[in-house]
Amino acid sequence: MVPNDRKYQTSHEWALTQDGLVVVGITDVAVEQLSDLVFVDLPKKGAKFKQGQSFGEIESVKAVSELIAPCDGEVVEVHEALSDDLDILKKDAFTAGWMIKLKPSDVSQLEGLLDGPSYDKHAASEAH
Amino acid sequence: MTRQLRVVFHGLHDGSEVHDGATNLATDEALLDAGSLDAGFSDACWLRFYRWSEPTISLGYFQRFADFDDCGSVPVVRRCTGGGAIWHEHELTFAYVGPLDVLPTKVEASYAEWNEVLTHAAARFDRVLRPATPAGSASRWCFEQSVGLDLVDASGKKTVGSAQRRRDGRFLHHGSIVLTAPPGQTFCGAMNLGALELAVAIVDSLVTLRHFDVQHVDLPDEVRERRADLVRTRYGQATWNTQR
Repeated sequence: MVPNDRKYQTSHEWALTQDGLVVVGITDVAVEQLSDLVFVDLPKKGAKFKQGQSFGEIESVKAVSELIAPCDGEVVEVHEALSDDLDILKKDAFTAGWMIKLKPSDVSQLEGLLDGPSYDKHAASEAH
Repeated sequence: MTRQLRVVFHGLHDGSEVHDGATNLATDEALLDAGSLDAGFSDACWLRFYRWSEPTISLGYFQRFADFDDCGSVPVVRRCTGGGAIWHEHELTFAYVGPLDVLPTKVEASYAEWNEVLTHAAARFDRVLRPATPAGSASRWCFEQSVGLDLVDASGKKTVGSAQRRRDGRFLHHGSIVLTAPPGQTFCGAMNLGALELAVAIVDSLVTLRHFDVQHVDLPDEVRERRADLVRTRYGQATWNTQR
């Protein structure tokens, strides 16, 4: 079961509201689906995104997946060390594996995302 | 439920449309975007087999353009999928596109499923394709290195290379199958088959193994329009092709 202190997207990103910012990462389900991760391309500080836009990409040995912004906002912090050690995502996708922090334009957009149990159901329905 | 598979052949027989690198890769990405163009496109899978109007190098999405400045005047275009570079001349390229729910969620399993189809098709011609044993040091060329998700021929030489992009609930699975061994590229295997007969066999195998309802179609206007946008804004632009 994923932590229920945050919201989730069906595309497997999580969004945690913390000190007025939205911390964004991907779930352990996404990490497992992709398997051998080789590269992550994250945006620069100051970049602005709309909800649903791609804010970066993660590459495994045989697939590139886009990372989707959970809400409108501006990137105020980037987890630069992640690209040097993608094993962090395998070990702890929900805390140490955070990717970006967004200053949200409208944090209420997160209300439309999935809660933990709903995401768990979604992930289970995908696994076939 | 029987899933529709819309099959497109480009450049596989006389009189069929054949395109340059920018148009070929823009077509594949337009199909990836087709789910949002019109609801009628969202459920179907697409399988496009194609050749290239001139020898062309396609770079993997993350590769450095500068690493290919020794390739003379051969056009170079960047794919949206990853992996190594491919010299498109002696091979059959394909793009398999559709909603992610038709694939096993794990990338490895999705490759295994597709590789089963290719192996089945090859066997119709008494050709052997089998999963590769990881081999080769890091190379800029796709066919000079193998991972376990690639396919090799009976002699162990890489014959099929593939890469995926997943976006917005859809996937694009790009693949390249070597038809005849390119001169000087002794590391490549080869099917020693014609492009059309191989493409037809792969479609037949998809019907046998995956029970698709196959329709041979032309590209819809909406996809052609999206392709034209992508050629103009991306694949025909140095800003895209030389970005890394």
